[in-house]
Amino acid sequence: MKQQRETRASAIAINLVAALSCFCTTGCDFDTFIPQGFGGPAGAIEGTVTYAGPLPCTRDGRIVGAAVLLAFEEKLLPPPEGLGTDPAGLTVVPAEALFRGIRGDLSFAADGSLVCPPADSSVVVSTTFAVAPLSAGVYQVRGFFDRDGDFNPGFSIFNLPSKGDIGGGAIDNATEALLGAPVQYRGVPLGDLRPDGSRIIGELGALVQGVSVTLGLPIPLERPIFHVQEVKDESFGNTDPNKVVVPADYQLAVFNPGNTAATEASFVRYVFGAGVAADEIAAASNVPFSLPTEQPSLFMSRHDVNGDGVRDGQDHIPETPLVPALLPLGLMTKLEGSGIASQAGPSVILQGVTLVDGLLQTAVTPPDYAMLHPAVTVALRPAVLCIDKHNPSKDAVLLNTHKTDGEGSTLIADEPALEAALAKQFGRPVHIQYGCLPRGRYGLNLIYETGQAWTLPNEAGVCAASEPLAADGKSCGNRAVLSSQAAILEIGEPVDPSYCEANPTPAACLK
Amino acid sequence: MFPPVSSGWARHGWRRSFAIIVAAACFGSAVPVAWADARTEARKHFEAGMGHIRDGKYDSGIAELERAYEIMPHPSVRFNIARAYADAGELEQAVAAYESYLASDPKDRDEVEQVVAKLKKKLAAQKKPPTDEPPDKPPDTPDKPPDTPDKPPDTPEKKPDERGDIYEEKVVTASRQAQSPLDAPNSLTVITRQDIHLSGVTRIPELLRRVAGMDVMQITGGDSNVSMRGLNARLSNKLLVLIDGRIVKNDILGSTFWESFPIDVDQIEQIEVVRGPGSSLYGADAFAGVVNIIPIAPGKGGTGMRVGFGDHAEAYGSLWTSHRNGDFAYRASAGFTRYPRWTREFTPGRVDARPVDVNPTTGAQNGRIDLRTSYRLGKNKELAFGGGFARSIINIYGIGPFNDYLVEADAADISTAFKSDLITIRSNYALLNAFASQGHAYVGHDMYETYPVQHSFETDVELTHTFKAPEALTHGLVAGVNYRLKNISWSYLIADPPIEHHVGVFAQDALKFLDHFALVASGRLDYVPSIERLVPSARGSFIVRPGKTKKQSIRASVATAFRSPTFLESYLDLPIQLTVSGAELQSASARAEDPDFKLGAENILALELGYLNKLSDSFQFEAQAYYHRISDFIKLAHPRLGTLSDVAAGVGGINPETGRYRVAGGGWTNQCSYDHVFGGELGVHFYGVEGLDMFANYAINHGIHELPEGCNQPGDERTSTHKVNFGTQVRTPFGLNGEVTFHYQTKQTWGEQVATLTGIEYQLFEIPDYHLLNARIGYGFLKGDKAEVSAVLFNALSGVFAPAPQMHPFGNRVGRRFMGFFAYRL
Repeated sequence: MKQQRETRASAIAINLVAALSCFCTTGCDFDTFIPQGFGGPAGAIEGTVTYAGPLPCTRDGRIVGAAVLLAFEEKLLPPPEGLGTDPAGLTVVPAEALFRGIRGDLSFAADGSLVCPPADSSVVVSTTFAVAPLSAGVYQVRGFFDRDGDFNPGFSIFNLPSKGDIGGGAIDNATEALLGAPVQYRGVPLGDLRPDGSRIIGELGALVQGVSVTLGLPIPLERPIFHVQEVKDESFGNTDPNKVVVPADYQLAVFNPGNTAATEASFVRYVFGAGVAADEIAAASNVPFSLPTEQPSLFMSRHDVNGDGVRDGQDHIPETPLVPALLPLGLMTKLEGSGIASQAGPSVILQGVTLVDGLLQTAVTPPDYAMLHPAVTVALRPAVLCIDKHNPSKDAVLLNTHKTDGEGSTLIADEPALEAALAKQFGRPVHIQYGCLPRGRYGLNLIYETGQAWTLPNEAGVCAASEPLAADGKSCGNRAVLSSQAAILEIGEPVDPSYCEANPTPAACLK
Repeated sequence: MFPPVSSGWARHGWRRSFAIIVAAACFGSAVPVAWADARTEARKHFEAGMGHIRDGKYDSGIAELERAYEIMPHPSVRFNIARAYADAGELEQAVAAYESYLASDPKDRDEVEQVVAKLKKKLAAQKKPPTDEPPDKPPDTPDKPPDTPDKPPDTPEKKPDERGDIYEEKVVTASRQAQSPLDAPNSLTVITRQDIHLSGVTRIPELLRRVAGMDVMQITGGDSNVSMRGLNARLSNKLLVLIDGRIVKNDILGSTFWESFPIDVDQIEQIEVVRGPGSSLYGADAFAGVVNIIPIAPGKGGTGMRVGFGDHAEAYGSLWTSHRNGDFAYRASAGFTRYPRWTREFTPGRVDARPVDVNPTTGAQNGRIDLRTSYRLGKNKELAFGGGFARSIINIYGIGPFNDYLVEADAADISTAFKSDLITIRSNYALLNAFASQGHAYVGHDMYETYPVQHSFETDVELTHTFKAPEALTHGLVAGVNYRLKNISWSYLIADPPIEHHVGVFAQDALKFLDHFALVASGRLDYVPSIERLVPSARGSFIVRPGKTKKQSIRASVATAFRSPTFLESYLDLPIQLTVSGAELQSASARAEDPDFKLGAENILALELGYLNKLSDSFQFEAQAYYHRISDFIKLAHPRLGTLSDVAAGVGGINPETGRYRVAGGGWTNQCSYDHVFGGELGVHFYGVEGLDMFANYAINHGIHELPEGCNQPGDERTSTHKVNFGTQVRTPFGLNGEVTFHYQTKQTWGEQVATLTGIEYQLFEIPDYHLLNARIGYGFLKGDKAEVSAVLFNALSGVFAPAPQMHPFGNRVGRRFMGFFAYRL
């Protein structure tokens, strides 16, 4: 009996082990579980970057610079086309990798000093690149080769290309663009298209390969470095260029195209001087700033506002066809707290009116106007655009303080037309509303058509938390402070509080 | 491997057995109770037997001793059986029992052999034709006979067992010497060989889960992190883990790779878990507690094998042999384990990312071999020598953005020891040689492939002496010196990290007085090279053992402990690629902008009040309440964005090594906040019915995060407020045995740094409460249950009432697993 039991048990044991051995014959697959905070399936772009330009510089035994490639979602393009200031993706191809094949042809100074071949030297090299992770969407890959090695994405004063860098991107008309035609960037779709037109990344991710990026367009201008040279304010008495305070219920006293002098005087106007303040030039040219300080100037031109490729009479400011739209754009962006970064969401943007000295001079600029100026005037509108850059499904609001000027003249003659124009520009419905402006600190920006921009306040004028300000206020940590680079605009208390009580700032403009 | 189940059970009949099984099944899910305790059952039989022998009832006394031996074999029981036979005049059985005792190669072999010789001589004389001479008296036994019929049973020299309570539970970790848990200066729990066997659990951390107050977190299929009374973390480093007294946590990260050990659960005699700080004896890193895994000694445990296979190709194999030949003994083992992932973060076929070239289904895999030997040099002197090797692949979660990380590691150790009553000298060399990499990364992103190598050498010299001075005071003195060398090379660290020489001196005096009281004071001074200072640790415990039997104790203790910065924390220098792939954060222990910055050690002050009741032979009860004040927690520092001052100093810009732009600095910081933790544990073990053991425990933990002025660091709990365990073990006479355990813990809040598009930021995550129901059933057969088949179900309720649990916000979802085993022992 006992023997029988043990034999049976042995059989059970063998069968059990055998059965378990077969467990995986039907598959040993695992569930995919992506914890929160993890990067799950995403989009990726791979391709080749081709550099066609002057030979690179060398220093300290290394090739200077890097190809910087930025992926912008088409709905969040950088100014002047859009409002996307931060790229969705940034990848870097170091010069050592890009020029590996011709390294032996380059000159390196024995003492490690900088050796820069002439700008008219020429070389064509290629290598591969990849940008990931990206969310679903359509992307433009833009980029430049930082030939002088001064790019640094960690600082607003170094995070854009400068004169002598070689620009480009994934361009549909690369050949024509190299010959001077306007650049047409290629849209790179990532993710599956859904019926509603949006895109979604599948569980296996999305990869677009074979994207060709060409860097061959020399950047002719330095960034629009500026300081506040003067404030012209007949309404609120601002005189301090580094801190201008405008009331939340800011109303133009007169807005009458027939009375340009009074109209102009109704605006609070900034005069942005090129470069840094005169007494800061020496410091600005040194480490760590190394800013270009010789013959500073700002490049002004007509702005193709409607994007039809032609600069003509159709490209004017929304308020009146008599005043053409000019570049550089003057944008005042609401800042986060007491810092120098723009508010994360919603973005609150006060778009100024760029003027050549005054309204009259501006009105007579020809369509092909393009000139270097020692200063640019930007008039502040009593209106802001409130837009959530990161959520294209959210409508935007154009917030105006008043429907009329102080004399009762209507400011926006055709609201539906303006809404339609803005909707086209920003890729979403824009609603005109009336109320007081969101109070707080605003940064000042000048933006070129190339996307090159400059912002106040910036790191040069503001100490970081870990950089103690010296007692004399002239240095932070171990570097100088450029006070002119700390200027801000403040939207302050209203002149008439009851007006703001009756017309409060809409929620869409508040964080 | 597993204790034999008594054939004597048949005497109680099937009806009772059935009732027990039914009771176990019912209680297993409803009634809080019990811990498996064959030891207590054996002791009950032993004491009953010795009582009978004392009363001259040799037959029944010997039967009880035999029963005790069946439940838990112990050579001294054979010795007492032999003496009883001799006293009863049954000399043949006495000789047989003595010879059985001698087969265990006892230390008093020579004396016992003389007795056997005398007995044999006597037997031979008895077999001669009868003469008129009176018969010889029974020969003397090496110790006083337990009793003789012609002497009153209560005379002092007639103690039934002069070898003491041979079944008394002994622990060695709390005081670095053997003692009763009732005398231990800290609260502690022992996981026995029987628990290991009946649970069917092959992961040591999962065995620890049943201990009140433990925090066990399975993050991946192969990465478990264990802490105590909170303080858990990815790469948990607050618990000192030892195997037979040697440190097995790695000095690189400070964590324990549980699946890289050279031994498996089949080689473990018991696991001692000491709650609360232990730095006063063990130095750095015995912060929250100490776990000492005590293997089966050379010469013990016999020869056997166990194989198991489960779903998702889960596999386990273990083979061992152990033998004693005179003074020389050895134990050798080899094994293989494979744990699959629970879930995976990377779906095969992904086009946006690429995986590392390692089997993507592996949670952990371990192939191991271990050989330990001992040689007796005389009475109570022994030389030990041995070594082990394990090659493992482990899917771990690192810190910061290092998730889904794979480590292929070769771990080896060589250890030697000299042990005597007075002095113990231990030396140990350990090597960890690994390849590590991210499990997967987006195209264009770094996999962080690296080859860390760790050499460590440790030696202890320890003196143990018990003496009285003055007569009313008994001192149990332990004192020693410890040296540990750490030599690590790793590309994540600075180019040439220094070789660290750690030195510690320690002493403890367990002062017993007035029969019921003990004061245990211990202290240690450690030199920690990375912080260049001496760190003191202290512990004081006052213990009262009230009552006549002294089988209960009340303990109040205060202790301090510290955790020294690991190599990763002391010498880190690694560029971390951000989500925006062209930018990086330089994570470094040193700060360019603050050259004087130096990371300090973590500190803890603990107060504990405990009560342990072992009055009954049917149950045990324990309760503890504690308060911890934790300061200087080492955490990832908030990223420091680069400044123009950095640029002026030449720091920042493009990193020529990586081709990425450094936009921020990171590293470590000592948290400026204080954590006050209040908690306690309650535990009860019930073993009133033979073959049925039940346990239940509950732990509570409540933390208060104190922010001094100017300190702004968010707190997180990292443990559950409430944790509950209960379970039942059953052993039957017909070979069936098993266990059911249930674990529940409430929700947790975790603070972790995560990589975002704009950098690295601190976020709070909540994970919901979860429960685990584990069960094992086994059936032993062949003579003496030499063979056994068993089936183990882990997390049986996964997905039934709630989604599979996630024990860390970034962890796998821990699902259900089934595994079958076959074991055979010679």
